[in-house]
Amino acid sequence: MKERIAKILLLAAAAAVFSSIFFPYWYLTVKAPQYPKGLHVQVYLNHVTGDVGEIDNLNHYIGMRPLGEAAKLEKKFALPGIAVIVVCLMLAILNRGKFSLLFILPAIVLPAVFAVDLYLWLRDFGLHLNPHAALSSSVKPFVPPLLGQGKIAQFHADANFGLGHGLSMLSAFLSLTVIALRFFKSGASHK
Amino acid sequence: MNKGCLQCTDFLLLTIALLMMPVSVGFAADEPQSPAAGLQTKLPADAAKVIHERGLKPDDILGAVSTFVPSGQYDDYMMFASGGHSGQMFVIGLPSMRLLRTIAVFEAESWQGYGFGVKETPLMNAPIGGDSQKVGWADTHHPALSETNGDYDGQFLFIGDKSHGRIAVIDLRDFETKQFADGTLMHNDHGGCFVTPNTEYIIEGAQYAEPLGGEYAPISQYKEKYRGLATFWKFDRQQGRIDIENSFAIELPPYWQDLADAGKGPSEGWVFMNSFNTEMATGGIEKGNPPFEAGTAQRDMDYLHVFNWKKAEALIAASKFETKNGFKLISLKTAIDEGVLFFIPEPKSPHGVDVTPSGKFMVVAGKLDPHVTIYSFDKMLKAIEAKDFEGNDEYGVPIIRFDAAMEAQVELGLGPLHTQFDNQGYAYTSLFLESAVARWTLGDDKFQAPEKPWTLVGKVPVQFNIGHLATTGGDTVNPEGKYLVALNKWSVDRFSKLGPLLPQNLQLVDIGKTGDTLKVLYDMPMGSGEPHYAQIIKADKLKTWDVYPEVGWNTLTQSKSDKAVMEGKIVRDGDNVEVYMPVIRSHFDPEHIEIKQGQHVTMHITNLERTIDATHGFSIAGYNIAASIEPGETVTIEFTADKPGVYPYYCLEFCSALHLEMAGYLMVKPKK
Repeated sequence: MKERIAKILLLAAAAAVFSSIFFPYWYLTVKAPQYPKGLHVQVYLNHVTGDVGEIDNLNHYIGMRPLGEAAKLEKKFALPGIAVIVVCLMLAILNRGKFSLLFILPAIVLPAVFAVDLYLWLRDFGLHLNPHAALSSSVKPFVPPLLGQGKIAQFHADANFGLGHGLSMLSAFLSLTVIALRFFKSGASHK
Repeated sequence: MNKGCLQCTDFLLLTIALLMMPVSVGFAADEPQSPAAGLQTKLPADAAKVIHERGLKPDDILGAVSTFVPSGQYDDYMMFASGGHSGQMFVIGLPSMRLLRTIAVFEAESWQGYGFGVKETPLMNAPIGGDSQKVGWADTHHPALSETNGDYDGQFLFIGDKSHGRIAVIDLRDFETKQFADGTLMHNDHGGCFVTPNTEYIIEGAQYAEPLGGEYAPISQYKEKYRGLATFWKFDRQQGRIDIENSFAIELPPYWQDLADAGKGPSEGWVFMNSFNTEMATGGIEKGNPPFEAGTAQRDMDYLHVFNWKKAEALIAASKFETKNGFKLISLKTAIDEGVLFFIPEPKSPHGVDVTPSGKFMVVAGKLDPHVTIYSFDKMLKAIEAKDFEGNDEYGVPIIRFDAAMEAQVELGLGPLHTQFDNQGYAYTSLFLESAVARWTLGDDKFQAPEKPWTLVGKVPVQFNIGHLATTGGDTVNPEGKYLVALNKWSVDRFSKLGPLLPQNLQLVDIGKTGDTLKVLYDMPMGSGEPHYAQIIKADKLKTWDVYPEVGWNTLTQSKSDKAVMEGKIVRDGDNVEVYMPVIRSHFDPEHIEIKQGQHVTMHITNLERTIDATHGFSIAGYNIAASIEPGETVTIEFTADKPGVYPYYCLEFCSALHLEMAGYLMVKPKK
């Protein structure tokens, strides 16, 4: 019975992580007086949408590299990576032994890996501004916010994780539940 | 929601304040207390103080609150007003009466980069003045918005140039002029533009009779050689262009034709056009003849011209036309023989003929007669079928008996000029001499006023000498009856002293309530041209672009140019130098252009911006070049670098904090 639930959960985890590729993992909204509707960027696993051109255009004044130069490798391997995670989850459905732990693991770490990677990129971009840029004297290197609010020059930035990331979190949670079901026998409820 | 209710409350309070104002303002001099004391619980206390200090009367306050549009909110209506001999068009928001934009049409305008080197304008490309003569000005009179099923569709705007007999086409996606259609048969026109209900044709009535096609004949041969004209410009909506090839004109007696209107509903397929000087006066005050002003006003009746344009179109299709000076012309004889043209007597030297919203009636404002005369299209048609003619004019045009076609006459006052309509069953006629707007009732039309049909209901004085008037959607099948704008010719004492050349006065009139209730809300000085006529469209009918659809947009062809580049380059081919220059905040690429004296330079400048309002300019001092390059636009500039020296070029728009740094150098090396 438990194993049956585990299999359903694994299937759901695979579906969740697969569908996450269609939704943004992270949002950034920046607001300034002359942009009453704000500028919006949506980061998907493998691409970035929104007002990228305008944000790049503004960023060049402070010497920040164009967004397109960030995480090139990650974007390239994102979809194959998700495919691997989904296949691993499938293998975990077929194999309930100790190896299945290994197959489930990638789905569990994905949300954290994304967040850490994004943070490192934000840091890298923010801290390595071109010192010859026009506004280099008024905007010092900084780390843009990963989550929550920040202020850069006249811009208020608001960052948040998106639905895609939520789906990857769901997948991770379901996968964790499967591990609990499979490897932590007779929990507190059975006492 | 809450905010809306608060505003309602404010408005109610203000209304109460207004009702009390006559008393309080009246005693303000005696009583030092605030005039609106005790009433402003929700209004800021300062409001009452300001009203008191500025001495505003209740009507002033009503005008102010009726027309004020808060920051960031938009006007409900857009008015497109002609610019008279400024040669341009004006876009004015209603009810705020703020000038939102000028549209460069027939004259160079450097802010819009129009006429200073940029090739993507008709001003740089079209033959001007019919004979490739360079004409740098125009006299724009009567704008017309394109229509679908007799209602404005917000796609195109047409404007006639009286001085040179031209029509310009403006695309309302970008508010820019795309084409001049230049008549080759006559030098002038006054009675344009008017459109047929689906903008099949743009109608242009000539004014001062001439020998057609630019020929010469002495004025002594006026009756034999001089002719009037009605031009039917075919509009190709898909191309957004007048199709000159398939346009045609109808030869007319040498009366001075004037304003027109197209039939709609039951009268669709017909066009009505006024005339004066059916006396065929030829002036010559210096020879002891009566001057035109007297000679043209001898007869009590002139002729309303009635055209069957569907029939005329069929004649063109059947090749029953001649070609004169490259233009298709239906001769007067053919027009008479084929039943295309009829006359009806009309009093007296009229200015406007206007078709009512139902299309059943034609209203002629008699200028030198105190009446408007209303003709029934049904009666006209019956008279034509029954050949109920009082005779023919001396050129053989059948004249429908006045009483056979006349429906009613309404005495309005002195100098009726032009009529528009609303959705309450009223018509509005400008009274030039009386300097007033008259409201009167239609009978048996699309809408029914509470008063008796065909009667004068009320008047409102306007300041001063009103020419045309325009109501919201006022010449369509669906007039909106919200506002009227009086286009007054004289402002006399209305505005601050500005020297002897005074602005025009455009007055906004509230026409929302029935009865004798017309009220002037606002005076707008127009200090950069003389608007004659205007069209007012509901703002949400316009579908304008925020930025051009794609980077590299040719605004003349409204399609993507193949000259757009993302990175700058200079291509040299002998003495031809092509510069491909992208621009973006805040640089040009390239920033150095090195040329040898005498080389021919073609520049393709592309604004790479996709952000609203991120417009850049480009200018080269000494070469008379000024461009405005809106987001996405690609412009072409050509010049021969015949003057050696170093010429800085820079961005004309304050585009960014680094706008001043947005510059480059054109270096023209001397030949020696």
